[in-house]
Amino acid sequence: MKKLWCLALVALLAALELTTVRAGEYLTYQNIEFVNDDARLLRQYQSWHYDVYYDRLAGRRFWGWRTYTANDHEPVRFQKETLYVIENAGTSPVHKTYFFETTFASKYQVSASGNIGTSSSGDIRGFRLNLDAEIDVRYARERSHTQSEHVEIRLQVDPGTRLRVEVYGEGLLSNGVARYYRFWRNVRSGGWEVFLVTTEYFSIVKEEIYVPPSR
Amino acid sequence: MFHRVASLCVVLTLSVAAWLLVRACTEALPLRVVTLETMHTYVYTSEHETFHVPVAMNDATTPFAMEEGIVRAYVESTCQRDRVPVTLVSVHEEGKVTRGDVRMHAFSYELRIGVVIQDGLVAIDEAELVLKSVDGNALRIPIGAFYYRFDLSEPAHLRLYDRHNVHAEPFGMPTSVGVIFRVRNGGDASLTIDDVSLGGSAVRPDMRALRRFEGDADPFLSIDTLLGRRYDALAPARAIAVSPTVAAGETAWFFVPFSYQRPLALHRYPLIISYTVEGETHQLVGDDFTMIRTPMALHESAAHREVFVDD
Repeated sequence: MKKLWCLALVALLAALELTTVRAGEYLTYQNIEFVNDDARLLRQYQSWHYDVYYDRLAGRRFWGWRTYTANDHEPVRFQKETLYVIENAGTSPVHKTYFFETTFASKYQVSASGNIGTSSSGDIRGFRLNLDAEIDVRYARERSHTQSEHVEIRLQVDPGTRLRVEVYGEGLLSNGVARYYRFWRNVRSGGWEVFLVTTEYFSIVKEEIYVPPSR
Repeated sequence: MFHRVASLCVVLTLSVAAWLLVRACTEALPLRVVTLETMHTYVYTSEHETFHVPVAMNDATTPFAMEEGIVRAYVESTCQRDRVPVTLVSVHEEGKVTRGDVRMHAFSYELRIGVVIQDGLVAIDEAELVLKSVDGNALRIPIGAFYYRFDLSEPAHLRLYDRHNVHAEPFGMPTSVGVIFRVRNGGDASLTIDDVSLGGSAVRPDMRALRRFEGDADPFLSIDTLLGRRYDALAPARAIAVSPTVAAGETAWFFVPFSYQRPLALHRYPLIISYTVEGETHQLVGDDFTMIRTPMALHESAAHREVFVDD
């Protein structure tokens, strides 16, 4: 009976490890949606997805990775964050020049599940045991780009209004599963995901929070 | 002993030969600069404001890749009739990019306008950024169109509320192809909207297509859906047919598509609305704001230009 409990516990831990995704920053975005409805994020994989995709891997090998790509450079759209909020709770309009600094990082970001590890060298994050070389992330890696900008804007914020700057964007996402073999023995397995932000879009939204008495 | 000296001589000779070969190969390569022709359109609101010119270069060691290597900068018309001094604030290194089979270095020149023209306007339809290096060389980079406006009208009647950019890729990379905006008539009399401008003529709103907008201003709305037909970026801009009226106290949404004179990128722009109230015309100038950010190296665009410089 003890053995059975131990086995159950090990199976539970294995299942938890399989579905826990060590995430890139993109998974903190407010909303991510695929242009193609059939695609899904790694964190949305169910255990049966893993089973199906593992079955599609080629046979064991003496040493190294076997990989399967389920979603290949799928276009995604996202709502990233609210960059700036200015609220005028007073009774007269505010005319002011606002300064803020923004950074646009079109770096490729990675996530992994199972016991596929991620590593970082400098500010580039990748997978351990050179999984990057096995999956097609060349496109993403060669286009990594960081852009900083001092933004300055003169704005008029009416009394009783709140101004927000919303950031949206588009990117490309690939994911799938992988297994690592040593002496034909499977020692690591799990899911991998690579994401590249290609474009960010900004919207200025001014909303009324109350109608001031003078209006 | 003789063998040692001979080996050392051979190693030294080979090293010098290799160094000369590498140097000769490096020297033989001309400086290759890739740029993106953009509609640069700004409203002067502060002495601190800057703008960026992104480039990709095949040599990161050229004086044009470092602040201390550049001694002078100005924006000039291609015919060299108009010239505006600019100050180089910094050269930002933005990573490495691959164009075709060539690995290049992405940079961005952060610049500040060097003149202030009271209530005036700088307008250069075909502009080049000219950089002079410490070693006496000049680099002329086609940057597109360059407009700088120095009056920021903030009239009492009309207020600009929301600004949602509409984007598409008519020339191979994301660019602004229209805008959805919300205005509020805060005055006591109704007003008519007569014109909308982006501060220059290289890209202009097609005012004949201006219409009221209803629905949610989703940032991913398709320009074709908004127009109800296929969008043609290079179709000429038309004048307004009937000026829409905004009643006193009314908040109204509008959509207007943009017409390009030639392939350009438009990522940051002001919104200038001309309107008439009680027989008087006014202008509301909404400051320029970056609506799109995308690395130029990610795309193959008709707005890309290449410059080769032989030392």
